[in-house]
Amino acid sequence: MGDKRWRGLLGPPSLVISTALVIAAVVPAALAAGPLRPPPASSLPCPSAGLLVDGGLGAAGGTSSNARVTSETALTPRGEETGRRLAVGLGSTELAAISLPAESFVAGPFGDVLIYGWHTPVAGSDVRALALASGCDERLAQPQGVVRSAVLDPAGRALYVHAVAEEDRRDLGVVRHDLATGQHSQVVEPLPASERFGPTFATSLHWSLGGGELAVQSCGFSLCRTRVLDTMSGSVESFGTATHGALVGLDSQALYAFDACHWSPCDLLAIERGTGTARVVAEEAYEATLRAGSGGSLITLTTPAGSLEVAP
Amino acid sequence: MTRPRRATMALLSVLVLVAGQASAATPTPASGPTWAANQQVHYRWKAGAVPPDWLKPAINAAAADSNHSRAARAAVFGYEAGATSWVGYTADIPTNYAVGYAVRHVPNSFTIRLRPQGHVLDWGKLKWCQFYDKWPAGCYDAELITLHEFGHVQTLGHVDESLGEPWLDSIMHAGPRTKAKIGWNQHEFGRCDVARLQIRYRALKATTPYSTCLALPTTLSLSASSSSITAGAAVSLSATLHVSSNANYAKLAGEPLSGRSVVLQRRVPGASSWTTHGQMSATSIDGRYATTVKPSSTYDWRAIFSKPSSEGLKGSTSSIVRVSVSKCVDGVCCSGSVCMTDAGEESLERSEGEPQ
Repeated sequence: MGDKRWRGLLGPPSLVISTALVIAAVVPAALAAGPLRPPPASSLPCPSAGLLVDGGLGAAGGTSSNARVTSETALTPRGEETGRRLAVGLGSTELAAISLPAESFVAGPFGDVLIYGWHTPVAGSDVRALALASGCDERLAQPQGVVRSAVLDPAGRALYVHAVAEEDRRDLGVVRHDLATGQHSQVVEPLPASERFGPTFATSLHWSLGGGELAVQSCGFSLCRTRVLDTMSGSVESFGTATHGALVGLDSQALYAFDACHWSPCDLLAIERGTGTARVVAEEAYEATLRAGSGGSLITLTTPAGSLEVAP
Repeated sequence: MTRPRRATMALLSVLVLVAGQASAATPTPASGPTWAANQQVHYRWKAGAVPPDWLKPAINAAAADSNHSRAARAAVFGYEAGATSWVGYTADIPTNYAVGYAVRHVPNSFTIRLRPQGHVLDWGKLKWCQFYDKWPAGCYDAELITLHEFGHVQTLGHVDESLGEPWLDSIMHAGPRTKAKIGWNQHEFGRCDVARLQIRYRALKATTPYSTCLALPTTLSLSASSSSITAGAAVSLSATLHVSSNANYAKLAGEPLSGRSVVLQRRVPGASSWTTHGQMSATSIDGRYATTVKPSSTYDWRAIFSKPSSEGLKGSTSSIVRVSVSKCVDGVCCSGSVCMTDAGEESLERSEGEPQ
């Protein structure tokens, strides 16, 4: 009886042997490729109720914790990047110290929560939340594919995850994970390959000033394509015609992005929503940040002449 | 399609391609203030982000590549411990996608960041060729990428890829290539990068060839030390060659052109054909060429600068200078068809057949 039950779970002996052979072949290769186990962590387990309160991780508006977060690149003596060391401390107390593999990310904080994740060939992808106030650590999702980045929505109720395919690293788009139900759904489709933009080097996720839209920016060596998801309607607006680089932010009127520079100072552009036409907001800026002002959006610029604030 | 028609189409395609390549060259874009002429800008390794030993030679080689291929009075880079500017090997880069990033604070300093070997990008693992004993396909040549960053420090931007210009015209592509695609290991500025550096910084010297990415008009003038001499006397002909003052680029307008081939020609007044006398010699003055002649007869003289195939200058021809030569026999000097006595009285007309 017991034998039949295992046979039912595992399949016929030939399949079991084949599977064992495959594992025997794959595991050493995977071992050589990188860490197999979840990264060693010295973070604390969360209370039995978990980090979720009332179906969410709390408002992401501001950080009430005075926690100190550091994320350092780990290099071999020859200078090869092997991953990163994430540490959270409070005063002289170390709340969490986590070693992440090379295929990993750290995002946030979103309110008092830091999001981090990684992928290993055998363990797959894992996205976790780290509470800055307590150092407790909890899994949020195990996405399909190779997780590249993730953000919490402003209400802390959903996780938006970007991933690429494990076999060929093609873009897999963005998937929304409902933290209360665990259900997930594709909200931004995979990005098609493009000769103009070349291979995608990195994809970043940015919330609009109002918090209702998520910009998904995919950049090649220099040129970027940006898609904006309206999280309420599910519609996606694409911005790929106007040449642009790193996104500074977005509001209901425009996307604000640097020109396609991987140098600075560089022109700051406003790409109008709806038309996709670009205009120069400021020439030769080193840095720019977008914030909501009483009369509309404001951009704080650092230029060779000093800092200034402009209404774009 | 018939064979002759196919051949014609093929020929037309080749002609269009050749014409397109010849006329489509556009200097690499640039922006921002420039460094001082030939400004020495030294860099050090960034503290806490010192490049590994396998990378340092490529970075220094890139600086040398910039110096030797700039062909303009652009900044000169070199390593010096304690310098203000730095090059760092770090993941701390303002964008998450750049593998190299330059920040310039002209005219004071710059920084260049290079992302570490092994960093995982969406498309896969970043590989610097120099990290490996045997460079794998798909690796980035750190010397090229660093030279590209030095290009940004020199104020160059990226080429407009939509123009479809030949890849090797520039190293400032929006997406540099990996091994072993064409141009993956270029170690000098492309001709259209040099063109922009020359536009912004002037050519390195008066003898420095102008990039073939340019098509600068030139002006050639000719003067004679005397417009009237006696036969056998020496006259010095002096030519001045420079970029035309109406050239589109302010810093290049009027620039002297030395070391070029300026040819002196002459003709009998009224004749239609010219005879090459010889090449004029360079002088110690930039853009100045000279030749001393001892004409036995009256000639019109002109200087010619033919459009060179190896640089971006247009040809030019000087205005005509006439040097009248008089022959004196028994107190009567003839120049052309008019003869004068020593006292200045018109004496007689030269008989036909007499050499002029």
